[in-house]
Amino acid sequence: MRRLIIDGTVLVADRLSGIGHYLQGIVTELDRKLASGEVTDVDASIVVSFDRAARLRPFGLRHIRVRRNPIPSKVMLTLTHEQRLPQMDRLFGRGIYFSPYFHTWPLRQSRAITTIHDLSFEEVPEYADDYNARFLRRAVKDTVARADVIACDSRTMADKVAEFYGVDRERIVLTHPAADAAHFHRRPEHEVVEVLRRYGLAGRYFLSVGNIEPRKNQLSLIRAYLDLPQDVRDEYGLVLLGSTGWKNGHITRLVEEARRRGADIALLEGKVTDDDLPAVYSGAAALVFPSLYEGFGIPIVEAMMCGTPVVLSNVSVMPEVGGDAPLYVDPRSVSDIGGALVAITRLTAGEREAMVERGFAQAARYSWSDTVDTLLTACRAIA
Amino acid sequence: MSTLPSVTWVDVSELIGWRGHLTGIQRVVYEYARRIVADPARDVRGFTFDFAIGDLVEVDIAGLLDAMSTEVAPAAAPTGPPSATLAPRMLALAKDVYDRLPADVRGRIRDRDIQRVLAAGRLAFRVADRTARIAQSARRRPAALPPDPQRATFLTGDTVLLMGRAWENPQGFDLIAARKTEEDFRLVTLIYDVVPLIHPEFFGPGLYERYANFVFEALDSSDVLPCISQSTERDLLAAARELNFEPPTTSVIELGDPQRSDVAREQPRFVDDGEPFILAIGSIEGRKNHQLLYQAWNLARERGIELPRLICVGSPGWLGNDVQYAVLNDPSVRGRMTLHHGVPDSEVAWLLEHCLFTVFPSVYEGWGLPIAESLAAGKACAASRSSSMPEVGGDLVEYFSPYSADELLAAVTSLLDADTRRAREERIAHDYQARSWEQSYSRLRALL
Amino acid sequence: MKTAKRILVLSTYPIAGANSGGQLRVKAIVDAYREAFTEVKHVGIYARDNYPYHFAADDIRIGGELGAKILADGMMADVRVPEAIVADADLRAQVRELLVSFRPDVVAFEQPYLYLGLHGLLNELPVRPQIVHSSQNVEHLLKPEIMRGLGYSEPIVEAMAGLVREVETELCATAAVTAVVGPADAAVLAELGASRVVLAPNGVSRKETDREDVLAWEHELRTRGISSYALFVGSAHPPNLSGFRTMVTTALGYVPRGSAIVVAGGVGDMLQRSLRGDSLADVTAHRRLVVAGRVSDARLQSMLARAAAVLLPITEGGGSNLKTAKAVISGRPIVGTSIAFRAFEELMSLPGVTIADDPAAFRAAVARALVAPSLGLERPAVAESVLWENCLSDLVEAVRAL
Repeated sequence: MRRLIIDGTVLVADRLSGIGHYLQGIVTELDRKLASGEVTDVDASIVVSFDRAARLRPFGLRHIRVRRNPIPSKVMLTLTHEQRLPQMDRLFGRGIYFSPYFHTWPLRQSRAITTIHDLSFEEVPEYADDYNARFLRRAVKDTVARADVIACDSRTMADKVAEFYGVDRERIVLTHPAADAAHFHRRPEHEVVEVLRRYGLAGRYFLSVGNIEPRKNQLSLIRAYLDLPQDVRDEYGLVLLGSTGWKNGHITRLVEEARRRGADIALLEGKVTDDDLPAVYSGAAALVFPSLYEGFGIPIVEAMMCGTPVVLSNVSVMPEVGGDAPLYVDPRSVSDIGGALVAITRLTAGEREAMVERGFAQAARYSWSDTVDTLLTACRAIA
Repeated sequence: MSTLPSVTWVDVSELIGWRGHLTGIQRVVYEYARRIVADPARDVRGFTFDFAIGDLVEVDIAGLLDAMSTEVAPAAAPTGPPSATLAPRMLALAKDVYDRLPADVRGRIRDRDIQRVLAAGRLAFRVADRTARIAQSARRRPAALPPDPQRATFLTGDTVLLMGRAWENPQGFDLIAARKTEEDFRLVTLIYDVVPLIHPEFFGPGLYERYANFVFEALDSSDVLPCISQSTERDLLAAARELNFEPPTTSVIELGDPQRSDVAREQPRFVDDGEPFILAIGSIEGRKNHQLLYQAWNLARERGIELPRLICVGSPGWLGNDVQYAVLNDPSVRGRMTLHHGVPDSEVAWLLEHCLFTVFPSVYEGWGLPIAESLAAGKACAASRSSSMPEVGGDLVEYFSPYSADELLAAVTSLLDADTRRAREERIAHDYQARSWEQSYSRLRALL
Repeated sequence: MKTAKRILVLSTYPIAGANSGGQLRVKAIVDAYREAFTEVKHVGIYARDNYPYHFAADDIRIGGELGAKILADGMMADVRVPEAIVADADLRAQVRELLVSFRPDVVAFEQPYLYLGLHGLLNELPVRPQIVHSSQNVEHLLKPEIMRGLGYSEPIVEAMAGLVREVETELCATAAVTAVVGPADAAVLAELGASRVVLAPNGVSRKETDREDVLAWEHELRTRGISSYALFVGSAHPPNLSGFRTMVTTALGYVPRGSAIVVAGGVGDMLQRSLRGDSLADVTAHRRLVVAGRVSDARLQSMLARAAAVLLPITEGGGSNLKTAKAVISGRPIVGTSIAFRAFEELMSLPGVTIADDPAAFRAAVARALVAPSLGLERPAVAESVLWENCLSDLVEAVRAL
């Protein structure tokens, strides 16, 4: 019986980030496999600070034990950043420790599998928060030295980690994020209309999903949209989903003023619930994802699963995740993006269907079941 | 190219604190602003820098201009001072009452008593006049910013026009320049003059550095720099060269003539009927060079030349104290040269109409509105020949060096000669091309 | 393959914690010898309190009364040390012991002074070692000038000049190899009697960047809104300031928004103190100027590594300029005067090097560099001629041949 101990910190954070969703997908699927008896050789538990243990309840985990970390969450954060954590297996016993977040706990005599989602803090530090970037650089150097297995979101990232840190490619496994098919699928027209109405939206629109920050490049999308001829803009609005917070005063002001001058742009800051997201995808003419750098880019898969065409950057990991389904653009070219928007509006029904079909096929390559299987295989190989 | 409609943004900071009397710069901003707002081809919005929130905010420019126009426009309902409106009526009423008194009562009222009553009445009306003036200015409150203002966001394709004293608000100017890296709007910065860099001695400590940084920023971020005179343009280009900038895009737009002549005239108390005088309009500050007038009046005395009285009107300013003190305390000058602050437009208009001629000895100017005002009123003028003044006066003005009391005296004595003066006035009436704000605005509009 | 030779290098200062030009040079020479020969020892002989913090175990540090006396003599310590070796029995014995136990094949004197104290001892040895004279300057010309500048009286200066000339002459005559920093010195020393003269110019060592510091520096630049900059590094030496003011100036209208001139080293402080409140350029310079002051080695490397251009606005001075060598080895684009490349003439035509002697042309080149993307330049091997190992190769070979 292998003891798998999962660092659940990101699941009980104030807001579920992309990494939070990644871990959510893994533990939910693992829980299901344990429940169904598909997996019998793993004893799985998840560690969260006692002061936030209650936040795990909504996830409904039955077969993964909750272990309460006596160290409160704020203290854990400080100790982590200051590299003064104790050896955590003294607290939770020997086993295989899985971290979804770059950083490997100090361990006395246990194994470690740590996820490195991307190398933004090395490759594009200008898009990262400096303090966090310095922490991550240290953490990842340490992980690369100590972890038994490194998990990466994509082949592109795995190759980069191997190259950058001189890591043996065999030590890296691919734990692709995925989207829950039960949740992300095309929603019927009436549901879409109802959901849109609740958010004050109507009609057709291009959709952007992701935190509003320079790396995600929403500014280029907004400019491309505003450059569109009036008649196209009359028919198609632009909806941006994502929280504002980092270096985006300009975009907030730009959207506000553009609206005042009659542009149909909506910036919905963190207002759309996970429940409503599939409907918002379903109603979109296309997901436009002009990001400059990603570790994976889960909205791409979510959109494809909802039957929504995707306009996608041709850089970083995007081509790997998008495959042959999306319409690709040079994210640094506003005119390129604009051209793709127009192309979307001109798709015939047949062309659109073909794109959507390719999307379904591409999205089918990613499943939580496969990801969890990969993780468990890695566990079995090291203990 | 963005297909959104574009906006012309006008910086109305100078007008926000307006209290009923327009300073030079406020007049310029007002005249251009109302014409831009009236332009049907433009969507115009006002903006200013809100210090409370440290950001640029929108201002209802049309509303602001409307509130100002009823007070500023000279043709507005003239409510004369109480002494003009009420006094005659009360006098008539008193006379009527006196006439109806019984003869024996009338007999007991002596002449002396009547004089006392009339004197008391005159005093009362003087107080009433002053009170009325104060009440009038109190009614013109400065336009206040609403508590939760709309932020002003300039978008690519917009035009932003700065016409104020941006050097007094480097934070605001830097913010506008920073915004230019986000959105590509056209920045038009009006330059009145570069005097603080050329004659820092006439300004208080700290202004040189503030002004230098303003000029640097203006050169760096403006798309075009309209200047109010060729002299200013030359000075600005010289500063650009000194700072190793590529030559900026400049243009010369001349200011319109002042409109004081339309105001109802009122004789000031400090001038007697029929008293001849020479008039100097301009703030009493070092740069305006009243010091030279004082020298010239002394020089005249030394040479035994009789000069009429010199009346100087203008608000007190930096380094004006010395000449004020001298003029007030020098017994040989007292009464011959007088300085007056806070003289209302109506009285200045009267002075301009009744003076022999005007004199303007400023050391350095960006334009020289008093010269234009004098010529527009048909009056001869003696002026300094430095900087922009020859552009304003052309060949219709007697020029002198701002550093020579001798030359100033010669110009003054020349114009004291009635024939010379008359010939001059005829030439002015015939040749002076009035400068309208319409013309000035059309030159500015071409740059927006 | 190292040649079997025993080399003893002597100087009147330690090379531990080397930071002065002389110390760095000796350290580089010792390193170069260590690469080439089997047994290399460096011994510094000096008053202990002259260099209290950094020293090596092999150093002969003179303490006590003798040391205090030497220290008290200031500029004449160079001469007092060898005099003490001759006069003081204990010290002499120490030095003799060193020679006897190490049995050098070659004794390399850095500067001529110690020869005064050792030439007697050398004759006492059973086998007299070969002498190498490494000269940093023509001492009998330089020393008196420095002493006059410090206010020593003329008789003392003249006596010193005579003494130094004597020992320099004798050492030139005795030395099997004489190394000089530049051709001008070669001529002078040859006249004094040096037979085998080799050129061993000052160089620079290749430095690595510290990635974490580079990222920290980039973050600082981003925080200040600076996306490209031209770098000027200089010590607090008046010609550095005048060169800057002539060629770069403080009238920085030609530096585009988002760019800056970064100044590192002591010259930055001098520049700031020289800014005048009544100069249009000086009061606005801060908008495009970053004065970093003296920075760590790691930060200097980071600054060099990310500079759009390295500036060499050198308008005066003779001889080779190490600033130029450091700029060349950084691999970054350079904007410099032809004076800056004196003694590096063959490097003037390297790709990325712009020579401008006219101030307006200099500034135009800087402006161009600031807006052009920084290309990683392929520097041909000739650029590496400025590295110490290449500067000293002739010297090493000459010693090998002894």
